[in-house]
Amino acid sequence: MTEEVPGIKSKPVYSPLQYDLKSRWNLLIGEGEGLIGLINLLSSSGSIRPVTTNFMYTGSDVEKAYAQSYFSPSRCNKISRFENQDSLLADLPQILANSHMGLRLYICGSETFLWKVAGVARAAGMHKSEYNMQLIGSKARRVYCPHCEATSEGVTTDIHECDGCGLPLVNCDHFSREMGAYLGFRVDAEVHGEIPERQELYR
Amino acid sequence: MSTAFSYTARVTRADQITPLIKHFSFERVDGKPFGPFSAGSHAVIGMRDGSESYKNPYSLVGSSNNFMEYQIAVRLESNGRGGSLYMHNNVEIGTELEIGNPYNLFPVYKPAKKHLMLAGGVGITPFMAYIDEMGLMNSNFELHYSIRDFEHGAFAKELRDKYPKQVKLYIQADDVMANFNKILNSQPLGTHVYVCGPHRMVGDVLRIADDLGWPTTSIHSEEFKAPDPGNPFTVTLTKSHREVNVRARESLLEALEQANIEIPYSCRGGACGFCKTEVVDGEIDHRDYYLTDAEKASGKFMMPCISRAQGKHLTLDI
Repeated sequence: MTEEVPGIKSKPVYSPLQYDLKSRWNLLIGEGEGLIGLINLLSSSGSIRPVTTNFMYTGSDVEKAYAQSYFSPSRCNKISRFENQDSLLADLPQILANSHMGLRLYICGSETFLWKVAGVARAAGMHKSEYNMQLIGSKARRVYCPHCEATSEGVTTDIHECDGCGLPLVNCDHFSREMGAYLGFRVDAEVHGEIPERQELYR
Repeated sequence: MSTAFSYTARVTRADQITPLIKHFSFERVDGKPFGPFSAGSHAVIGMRDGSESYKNPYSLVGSSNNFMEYQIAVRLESNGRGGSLYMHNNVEIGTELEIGNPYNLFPVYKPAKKHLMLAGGVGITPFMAYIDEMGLMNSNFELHYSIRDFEHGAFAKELRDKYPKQVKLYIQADDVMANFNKILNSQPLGTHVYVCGPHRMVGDVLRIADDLGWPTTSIHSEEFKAPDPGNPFTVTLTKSHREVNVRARESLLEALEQANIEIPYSCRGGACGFCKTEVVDGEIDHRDYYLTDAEKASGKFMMPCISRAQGKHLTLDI
C-alpha cells in the first residue's frame, strides 16, 4: 500500500502488503530481500477462495533456497526465477497481456524495482487499486533531471551529478508515479559553482 | 450546467425507427454549429405544450465530430409524465425546440485497453456516440446489446452490419439472454466496462463485475431516472420569502421553475449533483444517486430534481 504524507504530497509511504479478497488471480513479484514481504502476505492470507497464485522473483542463491521452501507448489501454482530485474521486467508485459480482469499484483522489493513493476502494470491498463506494493530493500532513488530529461539510478546522496548532463542536482521528495522517479534540479542554479557538501541520505 | 437553454433548434429528421423509439436530428435555427460534446453526453430538450413545459435529458446519439447537428433517440413512455409523448406525437420536421448545453456523466475512459459496452433496450443511446468515436480511433471495443425482438432494437441492424465482429445481439424473443457472468469472467486486463439499460440489468452488472474482482474504477454505468410522482407538498423558501406548492405529478425542481425560481441543473434525474439544495426543515424522501448516505442521513441536503418531501412541508435555504 502506498499513501500520501502531509507536506510532500507526492512522496510515497509504504506499509505491509494487504491481501485483496476480490482477487481471482494473484501475481506475486519479488526482488531480493523483498521476498519476506510476500511470504508474510501468503502466510497471513490463508485460503479464502480458490485463486491461482503465480510467483516471479529475482534474487541470490540464498533467496532462491528461501523461496523454494516457502513458495511450495501447494501455495503457488507457478514459480519463475529470473536472472535479474531486467529479465523479469522484460517478461512481465507479455504475462500481463495474457491476464484477465480480477488479477492483483503484490510487489515487494527495492523502491526502484517497485515503481518499475508498477510502470509495466500501468502500461498494461491496471489501476493502482489492482496492484499493492511494499518497500523492503534499497531506498536508493531514481532521480529525473528536468534540464536534460535523463533519469539517474541508484542515487543515495542529497546531491549528485546527473548521469545525462553532469549538472549537480539536488534531489527532492517530489515523486512522479508516472515516471517512477524523484525530481532533481540544479543545486547551483542561482550562483553557478556554489555547491554545498553532499550527504548520504539513503542506502 | 445551466438554467437557461443554449440553443434554439429545428428538427430536420423525425423517424420512427422502432415501434417505441423515434430518432430526431436538430440543426440550429441561426445556422451556426453547435458546441462540441464528448461521447456519452446528454442534453436537456425543452418542450412547451400549451401551459405545460417539459425538460427531459437525452443522450446524444450522433457523431461527436459533426458540429452541425445534434441527434437524440426518444423512447415513448406511455405512463411517463408527458415529455416523451409530446416528442412522439407533436414534434415533426420543422418543429422548433430549446436545447441545453451537453454535459457528460458517462464519459469514455480513453486510456482503457478495451471498451466493453453492455446495453439493454434504449440504453443503446449513449453507445451510439461511443461507437462512432471508437470506430474512428480504431479502439478495441465490444458491444453486447440486449433487445426484446429485432423490430424493437433501435440501431441493431446498422450496428451489426457495420461491426459484425464487435457487436453481439441478444434477442429476448428468441430466448437468447446475455450471460453477464460469462461476458465479464474472462476480459483481458485493462478492460473498462460500461453499462446502460434497465435498473435491474445495471444492478446485476455492477454486482457481478465487483464479485469477479473488477476494480470500481473500471466499471461505469448510467441510467436515467424520470422523477416518479408522489404526494403533493409545500415548500417555504427562506431567502426569497416565498411559498411554492408542488403537485403530485411534478418534481420540486419543476415547481420551482414554474414559480420563476431558477436553480442550476443538468441531468434532472438525481445523478449529476448540480441542483443540490440546502434544507432547513422538514423530512426528505431521498430518491437520488448523488448524495452520500451520510448527507442523506443528515437531512441537510436534497436533490430537488427527483427527491420530495416525506410529509407535507419542507423549508429550503433558497
